[in-house]
Order: sequence, then C-alpha cells, then structure tokens
Amino acid sequence: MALWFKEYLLAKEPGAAWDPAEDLAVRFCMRFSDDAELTRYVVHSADAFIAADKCTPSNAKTLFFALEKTGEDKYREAICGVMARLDAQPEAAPDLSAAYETLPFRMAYEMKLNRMERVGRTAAMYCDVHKHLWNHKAQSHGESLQAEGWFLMALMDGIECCSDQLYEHWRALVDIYRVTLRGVLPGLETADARTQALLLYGLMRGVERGLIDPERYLPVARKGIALLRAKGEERAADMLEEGFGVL
Amino acid sequence: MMFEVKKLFVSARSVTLELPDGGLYNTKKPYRILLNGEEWGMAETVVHSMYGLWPDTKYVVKVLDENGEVGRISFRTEKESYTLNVRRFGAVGDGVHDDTAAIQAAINVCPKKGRVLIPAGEYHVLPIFLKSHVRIEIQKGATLLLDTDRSKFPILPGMIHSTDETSDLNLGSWEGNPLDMFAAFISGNGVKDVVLYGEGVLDGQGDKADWWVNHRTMRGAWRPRMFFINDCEDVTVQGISFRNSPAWNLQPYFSRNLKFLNIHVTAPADSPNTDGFDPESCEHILLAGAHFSLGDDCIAIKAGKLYMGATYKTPCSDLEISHCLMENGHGGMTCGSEMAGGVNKVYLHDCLMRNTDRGLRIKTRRGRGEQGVIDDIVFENVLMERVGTPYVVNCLYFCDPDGKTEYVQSREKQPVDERTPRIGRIAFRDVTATDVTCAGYFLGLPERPIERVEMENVSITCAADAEPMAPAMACGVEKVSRKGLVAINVDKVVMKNVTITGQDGVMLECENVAEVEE
Repeated sequence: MALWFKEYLLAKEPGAAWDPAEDLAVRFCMRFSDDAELTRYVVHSADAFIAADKCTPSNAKTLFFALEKTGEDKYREAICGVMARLDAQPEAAPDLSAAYETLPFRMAYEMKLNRMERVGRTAAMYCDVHKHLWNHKAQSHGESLQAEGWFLMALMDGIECCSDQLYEHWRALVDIYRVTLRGVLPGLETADARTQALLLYGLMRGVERGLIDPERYLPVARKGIALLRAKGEERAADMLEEGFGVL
Repeated sequence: MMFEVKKLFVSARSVTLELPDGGLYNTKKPYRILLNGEEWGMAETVVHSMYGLWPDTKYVVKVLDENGEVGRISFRTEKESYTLNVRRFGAVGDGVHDDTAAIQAAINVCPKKGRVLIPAGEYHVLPIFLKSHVRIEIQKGATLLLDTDRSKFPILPGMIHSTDETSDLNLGSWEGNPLDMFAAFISGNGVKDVVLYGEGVLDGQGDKADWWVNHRTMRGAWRPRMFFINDCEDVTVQGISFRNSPAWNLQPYFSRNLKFLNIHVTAPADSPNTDGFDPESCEHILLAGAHFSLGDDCIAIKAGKLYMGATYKTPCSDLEISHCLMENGHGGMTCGSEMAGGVNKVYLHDCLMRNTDRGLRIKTRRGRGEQGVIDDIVFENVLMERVGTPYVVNCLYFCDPDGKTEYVQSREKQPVDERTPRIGRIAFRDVTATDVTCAGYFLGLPERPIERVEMENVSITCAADAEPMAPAMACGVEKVSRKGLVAINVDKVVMKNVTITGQDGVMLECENVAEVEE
C-alpha cells in the first residue's frame, strides 16, 4: 500500500515522530497493523520510549500496540508504570486537552490490563469533563476548536476501546461524542488546516464506527477534505482519504 | 373426582384447555376426551391443546376417567377468513429448497384473520417475519429448518439514531443491551393479534451450525433467537416445539398480553445459553403447560441492563407460569441477571422441576441500577426433584465483562446510589424439594439486604450422595453438599412449617440477618 505517511514515518527514528504534531500519522500507521514495516516501526518506538524512560499516557498507545503484537512483559510493566504515576497525581480540574492526554490511556488500561475494574470511573471522568465545560447555550465546550478536536479524538479512542457490552459506559461516551461533534462542525470551514484535519479525523472515525449517520456527515467530510486541498494540505487530505478508504 | 375444565385459549382451529385434577405438568391419570360426542383421544397433561378443529363451530368437550365424566366445557372457535397454504406460494418442503420467500410471501399477503398453513414437510428457511392479524399453523409433521449459514441472516441493529438525532430505534438485543443481533427464526416487530400454533417443529439447527462454537465471540452480530418479538401485543404461541436454538429460545421483548401454551423447548444439556423462555420488559404473560429441557435457564425473566432499565424504565411484570415441566438446565425459573428495569408480580405455581441446578434463581449485581427492583415473586405448589439448590438469591452474580471486579464482588458495604438494585419480597408456599445438595442460599448486598424471604409449608430433603456444588455464582462461594439454608444480608426471613432433613449442621445459617420469624 503506497501511503505517504508510511515513508514519512519510517524515515524517522523510532519514537522521534511520537509527539502530538505527528499523532494523526502515527494513528494511521497503527490502523495498518498488517503492514510488517509499520508494525516494526511502532514496536521499535515503544522500545525507544522504554529505553529513554519517556513513557507517557500519550505515547502509551505504542506500548499497548507492542504488547498486543509481542506479548512481552516489558510493555505491560511500562504501561503499569505510567498508570502508577497517573494514580499518584492529584486529580486536576477538567480540561479538554488533559482529557486527551490521559483518558484514552485510562480506558485502554482498564479494558486490557485491569479487569475493567474502573471502566465506570473512567467513563465518569469523560462525563465530568464534558459536563463541567459544556455550555448549553453555545452548544460547545467553549474551548478552542483544536482542543475540541483533541477531545473528539479522546472520545473515539475511549469508545473504540470500551466494550459495548458495558453499554451504559460505552453509550455515555458516544452521546458526548455526538454532541461535541455537532458543536464543532459549524467552525470547520474557518478552522486552520491542522484543526480541520483533527476534526475530520474525529468525524470520519464516527462514520466508520457507525456512530453517526453517513448520509448526513460524509458530505461534510468530503467538503472538509476539499477545503484541506484548497489550502494546499494535500498530505493531510490524502492521509484521511487513504486512511479511511472509500468511506 | 369432578373438576372444572378451563379454556385458556381458542383459535379458529385449536383450543387449549386446563384439566385441573391436582397434577402438576401431567394429569394424575390419563383422561379420555370426547369432542361433540366423538372419541378424540387421550389427555395426559394438565394443560392440553387440541388441533384440527373447524372455524366458527361450537364444540363440547367431555373429559372422562374410568368411572365416567369428570368435567366438560363448551366453546366456539374463531372465524377464519382464508387459508393460504404455503405450497401454493411455491414452498417445496423437501428440506433443501429455500422456502423462505414462499412462506414470507404467504404471511405478507395474508388478509386479516387469515391462516397461513404450513403442512407436513421439511422447510429450509432463513428468518421469517410476522405480520399483524395473521395466524400461522405449523401442522403435525412439518419442520422448519433454520439455515446454518450466518452470512445469509439479516441483522437487526441494536440502535438506530433518528434522522433528527433526537431519539433511538431499538431493534436488536443481546443480554440486556441494545446490540446488533441476527434476526430470530421467527421475528416480530410492532405486530398485534398474531397466533403461531400447531404441532410442528422449529429446528434452529444449532447443533449443525457454528453458533455454539466460540459462542462468547460476536461474529457479524450476536446469535439469533428462535422467537423474538419486539413491541408486540396480543400474541399467542400454542403447541409448537422449539429445538436446537442458536442461543436463547423465546424472547418476547417490550411486549404485552402474551400467551405461550403447551410449547416444547429442547436443546442439548451442554448447548450454550439456550435459555428456554426469556421475557424481557414485558407485561401480562401466561406461560402454561410448557416443557423445557435444555442447556441453560428454563425460564429467565429479564428487564435489561442499566442503560435499558434507566432509559426505558420498563419492568417485566404480571407473569403467571403454571403446570410447566422444567428439566435439566441451570435454573428452573430465574429472574435476571439483566433486571435493571425491574421484575415484579411473578406467580409460578403447580410446576415440576427436575434435574436443574437451581429451582428459583434470582441473579443480580451492583450496577443494575435503582430501577432494578425484584419484588413480589411467589412460588406455590411446586415439586423439585434432584434440583441442586432449590432457592437461590444472589446479589453478587459474577456476570458481564466486569462481573468479577471489586465493585461487583465486594462483601463490604458500598454506598447506595443510582446503580444499586433492590430485592423485595420472595415467597415460597407448599414447595417440596427432594434430593437437593444445598437447601437454599440467599446472598444480599450488605448495603441493601434482601427485604423479605417467606417460606411456608416447605419441605427440603438433602441427598445423601450429593455432589458438592457452589450454590451461587459469586466469588468466594465454596462448593458444599448436604447444606441447610444460608441467609446473608437479609432483613427478614419468615419460616412457617419448614422442614429440612439430611443436612449436615444447622437448618438455617444466618449472617447479617436482621430478623428471623418462625
């Protein structure tokens, strides 16, 4: 598969690309987990984070990925280390960006390593962030569009990870995702390219997962991708189209 | 001895009578039946159905024993508009040809009060959908064989978001959550005034398909049921035999005014999740004269998990279960574990339970929610033979992906909140249980004990050679045998004329029981 972001990522040192600025590329990388080179790259990135003692909730998605692919205990231990540090921190005030940093990690940890012990608590943390910041009159969280985009991402990560057999928790995240998406879409056209890419990613994942109506939202996605191209952001547009196939 | 013959249901072509001679499932002795003065045959079950009647006709049924008439009843059959024989619609009935479209066409065009007739033969089909005001007769010798290829099955989505994004349409269900499922063998959605009857067979062919392999894994959608009706009313199923279900057998769902008479539900004892009869969030149900022998609970009364219970607040209410035979399987009659909408007013009487793991089995857990109230459950005149533990109430049931977490399993008091279920009054009257392993196990929540357990005229005999079993499926419950009653976290236990014999140790073992009235 000729994916530009594959070349782009593989040209970098493992771990080097793993900052929020490259998050989308890395996410797409993990979507193609049957690609041996990409898989190796993600696993090597996880190794690099462990070696440098730089495992964080944000980059822990590589650790979960590596654990799933290799089954090696070092990844499990690294994940548990991240969780222990998180547990030791006092709970901060609700914040969309912070939610992006930690909540998807918490959900993944609960589902995969903690026997779902605190899935309800994690879902409640998502709800707390949403309730605390949601402005009913404005129908938005009142944060920057980019922060909303990251929150959408965090919601989708949580939704994909949470079992729908824990329906009340799963559904709570879906409901927040839907209202958040509706709140941000009016700003899509005027957002900067990076924010547009984030929002479109969140939207297209929702369509792909069957959470929102494709008849209503796919035209929005297509229009958004055309906007990206009009701004010369061909790579971001390609990435969305290639990453999601022919949604 | 004379008795009053009762009419439970009459259609244009059939009738179901009750012959209350004191028997439970079977009558105490066989009876001759005369229909309009002519020999009809023998009746050996208390709930007895007769087929092959003629529409809009007056009948007199006389019931006779060796000494003469012991009861009689007269009735008039319903009118019938037309009979649509599925063979006229192209059904072949050779067990090979796909007869789905032919049968479905007959149902879809059937006029009001018309009959779709499925005569003797083997009909290879995919799921069939019901329509209002139709009667479907599956005659003796007719077997419908459900296709074994899941890729051909329609899927009913769990939830579909409305076009204006303000509400949901719930079509599919799996274990109390609105999840995608393959359409049931017989599916009904929003239909009224339907009768499915006859001496024919619905064979789900779970033994020949891959439904029972990796059964806990969702592949495409969750497994189909044999009979699933959603938002339906005035539906009767009479006489039909259900075999080898891919999953639960009959699941009426958010439906009202239903009768299930003389049905026969069988599946291998090791078949997974083949519950017999699982009404969920329904009201006004009569289940009479049913026979169950299968791989899970014979009857499981349900009301969804937390989302469905809290959102729709629809309990399963007003059920009468009588003259049934529950054999093998896990529970004779279960409430839960999906009970978040509540279960109340359940009256089970004159039933025989044989070789089930448990008799009455109430299952719930923290997280089912404050709508999850089980109340007014009455067992009366029941005989249990070789039932492992006849009475089980378990509020720490370790079901669901998170069922073994500390939150669910903790024996310490947890805060009572919107996720805490409640068990009200459970009563047993005139119940005899023989050859049991453990007399009973009542395990409430420490923060919200079971409110009231009443036992009156109850006799329990422990088996001398009972294999040890865990009476309740909760963490920390050890296997026992020859054990008396155990009550943990119960407000009040009432015991009047209760005898337990053959147990090792005390008759009643209490822990955090506020009051015992004897």
